Amino acid sequence: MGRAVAHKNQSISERGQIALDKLHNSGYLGEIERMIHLVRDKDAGFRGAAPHIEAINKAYGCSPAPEHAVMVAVDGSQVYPDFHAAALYYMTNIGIFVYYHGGDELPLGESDPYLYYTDADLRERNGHGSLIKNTVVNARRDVQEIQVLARVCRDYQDLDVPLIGVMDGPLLWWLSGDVPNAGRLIGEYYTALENFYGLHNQYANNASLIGYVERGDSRFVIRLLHLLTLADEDVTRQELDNAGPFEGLTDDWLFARFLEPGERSAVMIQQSPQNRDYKQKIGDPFEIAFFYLNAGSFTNDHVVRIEIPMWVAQNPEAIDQVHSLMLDQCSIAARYPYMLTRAHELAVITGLEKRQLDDMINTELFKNQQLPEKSPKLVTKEQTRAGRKQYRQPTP
Amino acid sequence: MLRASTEGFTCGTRSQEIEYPAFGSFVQTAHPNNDLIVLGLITAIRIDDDPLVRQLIMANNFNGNTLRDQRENRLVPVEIEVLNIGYVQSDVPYYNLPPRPPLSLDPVTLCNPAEIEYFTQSPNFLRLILHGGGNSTVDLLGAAIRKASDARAPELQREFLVAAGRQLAGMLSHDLTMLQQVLSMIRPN
Repeated sequence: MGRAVAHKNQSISERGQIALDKLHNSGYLGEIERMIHLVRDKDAGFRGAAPHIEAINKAYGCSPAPEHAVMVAVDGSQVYPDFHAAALYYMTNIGIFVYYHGGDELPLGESDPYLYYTDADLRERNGHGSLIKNTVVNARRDVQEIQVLARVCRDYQDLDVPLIGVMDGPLLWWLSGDVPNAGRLIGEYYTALENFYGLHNQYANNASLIGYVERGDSRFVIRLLHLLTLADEDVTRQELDNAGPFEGLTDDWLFARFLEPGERSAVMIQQSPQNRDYKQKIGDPFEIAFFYLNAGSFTNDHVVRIEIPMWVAQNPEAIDQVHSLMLDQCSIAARYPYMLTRAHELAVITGLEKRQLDDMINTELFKNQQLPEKSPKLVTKEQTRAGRKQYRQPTP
Repeated sequence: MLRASTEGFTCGTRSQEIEYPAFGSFVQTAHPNNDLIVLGLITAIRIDDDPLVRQLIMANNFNGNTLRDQRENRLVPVEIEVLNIGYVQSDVPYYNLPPRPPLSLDPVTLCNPAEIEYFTQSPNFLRLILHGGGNSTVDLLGAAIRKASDARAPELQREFLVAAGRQLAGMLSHDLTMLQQVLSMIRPN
């Protein structure tokens, strides 16, 4: 296994150098745009990046952070419904953390829990179908996160400092077909985006929304570089189904070598049907763009992807604010935004809290003459998880 | 109150609330439904770390916001160890271990000067400190006697310190080294 991994890494290193050279030499935006139009005309299923305004072969340094800013982060966690529990329910909890950059003001930390227990909440087909899957709970939680973010940010609408709402994960959100009422959930997500944009339009300063994506294995730029190696006649769906000579490389790998600590890549736009939907169904300001950021140090590179809606991408001042403020956040603790760490901490429902919640539910069931009873399967599982005492022979 | 036995108890508080409790301070706890007041001395104050605090220290870049967030918003656990030195029941002080421990979640408060003076009217309160103070016995005796002295009017302090020294001389007649260390700590100014 060690030999195989070493061989793979050596191969990646050689091909990666070619990719890096290609990126360094991709300075002519006109040629890149011509290839992007070609691949769109041919409907060749391109899933890579397209440049926005900036040259993609440049790294962009960090401007000084604004003196003051308000940054709001949200994160969510959940308890999934369990058929074997005494009561059927699920729970979501949204952690909210507001950080006042540039002062000594006490940050605000809150959590926003929701308990769902009616058939309409728990069963498909408006309460008449089978129990909802965990993916449904995840999808509802994701929508709640952005709804809460938009609502909390609105509390700061009278300020005149940059306002940044931070989601943990991609902004370009979509659902697979196995989620019932996916269209309604996506509609609610779009509405929350529109609410945030409405806040931006009324706001005296920039109100920016970002999705913070770490440890992604995305290959948007790798795929673009592959496209740029092709002759026009080779631009086909079959050819673009993989990354060609750069297969196995990721954007993280590439930009860890391209960006110095603190630098960002050019702002680019992901080419996908989902992103096209964002643009066509909600409007131009909602197409999702992104840039890579090296939030690491000189001894330890750390590349993350920052997703931003087009209303931010088209505003150089807002991009600078996002760039500098996220770097500042990553410098506080372990190269990860402090505000997201705290939002996660506020959101997470620990095992102990879950047991306390179950105790409270059981108490309420007793009060209402209901006998809470776990299934024998769950009881047995809990007993085996409780740990065993080992009886050993004493050591002589 | 987090944990308790008849010999002592552990109470918890938030990190920003530890400005006043100090090593050797007199504290008391009473259950609202009975007249038993347990008195003790703070023998240790511990602030536990956690992974996030460790990360912040390693990054060495935290600012006023994060400092306040850690201290005021996060439940940074502070644990205070208390050694029981007696109790008050029906307004009578007893210098023995309490008949039963305080209960979980009972509030723990610092004793005011009048309460300290009342309880330390007899030097017998030193006995349980001597037996239960562990490795910090000398420091604990010194701190407790000083605080008991400070709780009195200035003109009574010298008399109290001398009486405490005499009591210690009898109790520590077998350990002159320890006696000398404690006496040096409580010597009147």
